[in-house]
Amino acid sequence: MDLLEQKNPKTREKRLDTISAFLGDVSNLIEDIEKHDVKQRIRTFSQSYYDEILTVFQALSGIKDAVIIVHGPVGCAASGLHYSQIGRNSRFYVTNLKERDSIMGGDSKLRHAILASYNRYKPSAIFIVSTPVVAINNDEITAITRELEGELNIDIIPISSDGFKSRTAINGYDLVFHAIARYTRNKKVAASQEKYINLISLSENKDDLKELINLLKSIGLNLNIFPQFSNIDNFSIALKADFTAAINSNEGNYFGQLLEESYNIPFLKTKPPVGFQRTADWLNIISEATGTNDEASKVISEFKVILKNTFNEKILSDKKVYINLPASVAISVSTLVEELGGEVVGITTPNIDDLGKDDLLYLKNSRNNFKLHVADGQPFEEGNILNRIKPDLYIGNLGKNIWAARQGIPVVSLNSTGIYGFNGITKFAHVVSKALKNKSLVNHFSENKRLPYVYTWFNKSPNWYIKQEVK
Amino acid sequence: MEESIEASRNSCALHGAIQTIQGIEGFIPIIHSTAGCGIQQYLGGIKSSGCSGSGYSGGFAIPSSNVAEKQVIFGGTSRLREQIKNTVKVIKGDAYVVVTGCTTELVGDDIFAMTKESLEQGYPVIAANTPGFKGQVHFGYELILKSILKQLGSITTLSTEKNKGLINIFGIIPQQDIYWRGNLEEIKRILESLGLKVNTLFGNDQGIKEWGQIPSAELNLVFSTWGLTSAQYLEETYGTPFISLNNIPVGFKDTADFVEIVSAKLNLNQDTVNEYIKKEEKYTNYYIDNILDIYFDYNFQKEFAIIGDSSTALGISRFLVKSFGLIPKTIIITDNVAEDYRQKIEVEFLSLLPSEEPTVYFIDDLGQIEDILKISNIDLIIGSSLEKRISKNLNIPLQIISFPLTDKVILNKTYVGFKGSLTLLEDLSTEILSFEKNKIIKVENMMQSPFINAIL
Repeated sequence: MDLLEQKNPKTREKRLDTISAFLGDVSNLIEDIEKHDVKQRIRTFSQSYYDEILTVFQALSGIKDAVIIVHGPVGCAASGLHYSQIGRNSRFYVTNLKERDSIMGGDSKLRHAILASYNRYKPSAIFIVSTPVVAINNDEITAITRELEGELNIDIIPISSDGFKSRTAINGYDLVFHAIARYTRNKKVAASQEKYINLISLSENKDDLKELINLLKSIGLNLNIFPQFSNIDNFSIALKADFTAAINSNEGNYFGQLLEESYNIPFLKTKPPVGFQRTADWLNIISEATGTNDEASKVISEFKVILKNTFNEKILSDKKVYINLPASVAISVSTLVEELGGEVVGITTPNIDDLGKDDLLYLKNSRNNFKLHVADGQPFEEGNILNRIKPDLYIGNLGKNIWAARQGIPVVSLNSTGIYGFNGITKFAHVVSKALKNKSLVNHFSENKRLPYVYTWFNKSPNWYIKQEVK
Repeated sequence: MEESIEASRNSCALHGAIQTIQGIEGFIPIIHSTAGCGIQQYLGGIKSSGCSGSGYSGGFAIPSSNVAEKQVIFGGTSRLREQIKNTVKVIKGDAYVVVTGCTTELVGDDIFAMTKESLEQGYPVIAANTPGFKGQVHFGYELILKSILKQLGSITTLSTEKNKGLINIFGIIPQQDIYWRGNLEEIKRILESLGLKVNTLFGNDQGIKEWGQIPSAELNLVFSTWGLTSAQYLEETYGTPFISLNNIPVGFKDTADFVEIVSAKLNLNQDTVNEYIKKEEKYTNYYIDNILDIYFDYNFQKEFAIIGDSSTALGISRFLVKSFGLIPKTIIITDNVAEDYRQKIEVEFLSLLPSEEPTVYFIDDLGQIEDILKISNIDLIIGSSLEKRISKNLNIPLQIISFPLTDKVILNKTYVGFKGSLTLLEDLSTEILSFEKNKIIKVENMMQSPFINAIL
């Protein structure tokens, strides 16, 4: 019970050598990873990016029967207005810590929030999300949560986020899983009559999740899905599953590994199922483990016929494509781009680490001197890169797309369009063809020069402000 | 409002400061805090305000020192120095404003030492302490506005000689007022029709030049309590008189009154003013005539609850009650106004309609708001996207007027002034109408149910 014994999980940086600032040759990076000598770099100019509190909030907003209490000043829950729109759980509180509370402690406000949310919603669980103010003051909150847990007879689960120890937001997923796993370990779960597998989904949009659920159901599997679209019970049910798969195994890594180490539930090593080959691989790995090979082969060969025309069209031939997505997804999307005849000329990923070694090897082996950009956001760096390589198409996500579009590059956003699974291929091909067919809006942008940069910035090297950290 | 809050609609002082700075063209905020503060403001402040966009350098492009554990332990001033030095080299701007978050405030970084250095090197960089734990978004607006005004002379040349007929606008908070751009534009249009010159100070074409002219204005207009301290400061410092209004003017009556107050203060030609008001009266009446059929077909005389910031809620209530026949039942003011000011505007609400005194609340907790609405006996809610859930539960229509607005897109819509009131009537009537049409669908569904058919 290695991972579970610790009160808090180690940061991704300590556990997996995760880096969040880099621009350079992938082969150098692979070398460093293999030698366990990954250099942490920092930026001397930076723009805002996701911190772990945001990913914690996003993960928890999928759990319907819970309440989220952000323990901190009122702005730390601002994104709740956004996440409560896209998640299933719209019940969130903030303890509203003021200057005085940062000195005297916010115990009474936390107590108030727990009681208010309990009385109003009678939730199955209450999550307490910690913030920088609470972490800096070393506020001990377990005394209150234990006391009220006994009194109210519900589960109160503190998440030990702080927003500054790790530089990578994906750390937030680990914090959530760690806290929930410690909480579920004492739960009694009745053995189910039917067999099922766990499917971890964190950041996929609704279209994608629907597609993959249909795919796994079509080969006859029962699924226990969390944290998106879950109830708190789904986490204890997870302890009796036959296998665990994550749609994005990098995001779901912590819980998958924990279930494997502590409960002997194998964590299937899969790549995000985007594109024909990777979707087939994904399905094959899962069906191999669950003994549903025949069903999977049937589905795969059916789709091979259905998708024949899409692949014959090669709509991306002669097109240079830039991708800004988490590494594992970005590589899967690359394979789809290539299946459609395109060439991936650059990738920006928010982080990379030991888990991404295979992905890096894929890049190294399939291309010469491929440069990888590691940055969450930082559109100033990406803008500089895009200005140099001038791609024909940009694939990205919420908040990041518009900066590429303003450089006149056609954009495909994966924020609301589903591209996972076999049906995702046709959906993707469709949005791509539309983006390339009519560029009037992005042309308008590029003519109007709506970029905020000092013009000399594009003459400097894009990694100008990335420096090795001095300890 | 000191306890914990469910689904707060008011965010924090830092976010209020950021979006206020972003509202000025060429002004670049530099966040000195942990990495997530800027994205919280993007998701919870910008995107939740009628799906606003990242703008010139907002969202993921906002400069931020992103302090980490090292700075928490050893202090973050040298990181800030580096960030300022490089921001002016990468992001093009006319002025840079350093704003602090809770973390660097607890660490105790001396930000003014850093901006003093930059100023000495010739860069237009100023700063303000804006940690989120000091207050909510409106307080952040009030705070940063006054801070910028005080430091304005160090980033631009101020024109102090009075410019006849020039007016500055204060009190309309970017993003927190979801219609801020349109509202400012309509106020400007009206005043320009009187031959005046207007600096709205925020929005399109309002940058360092207009801010440099602030001291030269003949008059400052304040549309909410949150602009008052700045107007007082400008009166003390530059002798500029101000008119303080408790609400935005909505509809013919209030806007005509507003025009008269301003023209009296500035001694404008009464004939020209009267002529203008008559023209607008004819214009608004022309369109109000056009709404009468539907108004009576569907009994628009609703008993309503309104939820929003004091200035918006009062302005819209005054119009709907005094000119459109609606009946006020429940007033919920969400912007944490000072105790003495509460009494002042409560009186205004209580005197809206002599025969019906509404109940006035000052809260911002979603749970409490829903509980009040449940027992209010109303048939219309005028509020924000957060009231969607309760309006569904109570099965009554919802008209949006306040923050947050998460499922509709706003560019330059306004409910202010002469034109804005017509847009409000369009939107409100459309909400009521589609609600009534939904009733028809519901009845149709009932008819298809076999059980009902059996009875019929």
